[in-house]
Amino acid sequence: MTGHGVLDATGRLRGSLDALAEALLAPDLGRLIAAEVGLAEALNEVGRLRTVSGADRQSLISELIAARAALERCRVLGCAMSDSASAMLQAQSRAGEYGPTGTTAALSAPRGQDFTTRI
Amino acid sequence: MSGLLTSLSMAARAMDAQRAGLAVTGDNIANLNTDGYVRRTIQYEEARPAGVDVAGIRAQRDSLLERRVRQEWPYEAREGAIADTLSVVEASLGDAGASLDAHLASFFDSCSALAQDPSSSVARDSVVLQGRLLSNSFNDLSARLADSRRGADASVRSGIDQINTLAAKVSSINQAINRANGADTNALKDQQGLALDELSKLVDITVLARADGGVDVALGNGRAIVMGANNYELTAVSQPVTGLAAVTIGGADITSEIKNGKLAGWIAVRDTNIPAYQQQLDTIAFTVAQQVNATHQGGRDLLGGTGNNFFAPIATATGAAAAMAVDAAIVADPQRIAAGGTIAPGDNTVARQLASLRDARVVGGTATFAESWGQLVYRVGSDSQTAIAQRDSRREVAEQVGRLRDQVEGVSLDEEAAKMLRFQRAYEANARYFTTVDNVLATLLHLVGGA
Repeated sequence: MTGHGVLDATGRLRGSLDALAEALLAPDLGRLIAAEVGLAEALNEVGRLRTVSGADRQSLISELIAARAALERCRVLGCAMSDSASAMLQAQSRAGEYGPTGTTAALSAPRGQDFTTRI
Repeated sequence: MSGLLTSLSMAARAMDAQRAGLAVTGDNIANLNTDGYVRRTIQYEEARPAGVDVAGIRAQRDSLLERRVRQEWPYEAREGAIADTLSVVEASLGDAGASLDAHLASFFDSCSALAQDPSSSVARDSVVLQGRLLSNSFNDLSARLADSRRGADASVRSGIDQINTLAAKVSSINQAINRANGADTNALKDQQGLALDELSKLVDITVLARADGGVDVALGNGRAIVMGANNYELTAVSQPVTGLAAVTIGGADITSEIKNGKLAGWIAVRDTNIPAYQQQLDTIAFTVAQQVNATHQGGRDLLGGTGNNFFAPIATATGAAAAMAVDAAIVADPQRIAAGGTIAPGDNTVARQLASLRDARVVGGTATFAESWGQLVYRVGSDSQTAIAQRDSRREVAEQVGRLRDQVEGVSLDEEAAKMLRFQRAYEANARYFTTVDNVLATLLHLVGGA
């Protein structure tokens, strides 16, 4: 694996994280669901890397920093959206009425303090 | 470094956009039960060089449906006002067999009893008593109808005040919208819609949209009550003699121009229904007094006198029910009741003729007193039931159109909740990779010496 290979793979990972962040921002459910596939594929590609050369070192570092920033952005946006949704659902006593299996599944309590801090 | 700053800036802007989106959904849920609230949707636009911005928040208004709803409400409100007022009139007439019909029967029964024993002072006292009870019954019924009419008039005056208050509110909202200068006016338009809804229930209005988002409102034959920031007040002007209020604007009497809405219903009951009932009641009272007096005048009392009135004479039918009373001379001395055609002891000719009036078709030449009273009761009941049926029918149409409007403008809690849950699940599906991604990136950084 060449340096360019690492750079490309990391770029695609960052791209998929950016796509996920954009989907969270929209908020666009279709893009959010589609982002999962892109993220899984990009992660899989990075996971298959066997060697990392020193070529384009600075570019790679920049790309990795950008990818980490994109990941953090996804976390912040995702948690904010999820916590808001939980708070609103619980406010109307509707939390936990629907889960992945279709049966009642309690949602996690809103992390109020974290949520406030992030906002 | 500039790339990272751009990224951070984009993230911050996008974060704002997302927060705005959630706030809109939160607003929709929080205002689920707020009257007049119209569902908001957020509109995004692509930001340059990248990211997303909020283009605006739009209220899901459908002006066509709003106009349709406001066309239906005045009809429903008019019939509702008529039904509500007439139900009170109907109740005031009393139950069958326990109201005027019972007093008529008792009076003629007392005449029959007098015919059995024309010289009996007890029977004479009983005729006077029943005559007074019958008169009182007419007086009470007339007073109740007059009260109902005054009540309808009070409603008309109150309706005029409510219309003026709402018109002032709409003009003040117009002013606020005009001064918004591009700021969000959706909340103002919610208030505007609510005020127009209330107004259309009171009176049929014509609403014309202004370019700045405000509205002009007219009623009757195009009488403007709101034009931009100005409102023109309706006035209740008491009419001579009756004292009832005429609806005027700028000095012009527009009472007859008001066709629908609660105001029209109250006016119809006050000026059409109740006067007709009063007229019929007066006709019965006038005919009773006239027929009884005519018969009574032909007889002779125990003192030998003749030509006496039993009831105090009434000149015209108008106001007869209110004026009806047993003649003062009869009340003072029941011996003045003429039971016979002569002074011969036991002559009961006139008493029998008075008793036979019970079955005489003398009201309008076609109906007995009891039948005529029954017709009045039936008429009130029929008018009331017709108004109820019309109101229910109109209400169904108004509700159907209202539901259609709500589908567009209303907030669906299920829809909002389902949307929230779907977003949560989709995010969680992505988030399960985050730890791995974090580890991979940390490892790579470590390998290239960036950490």
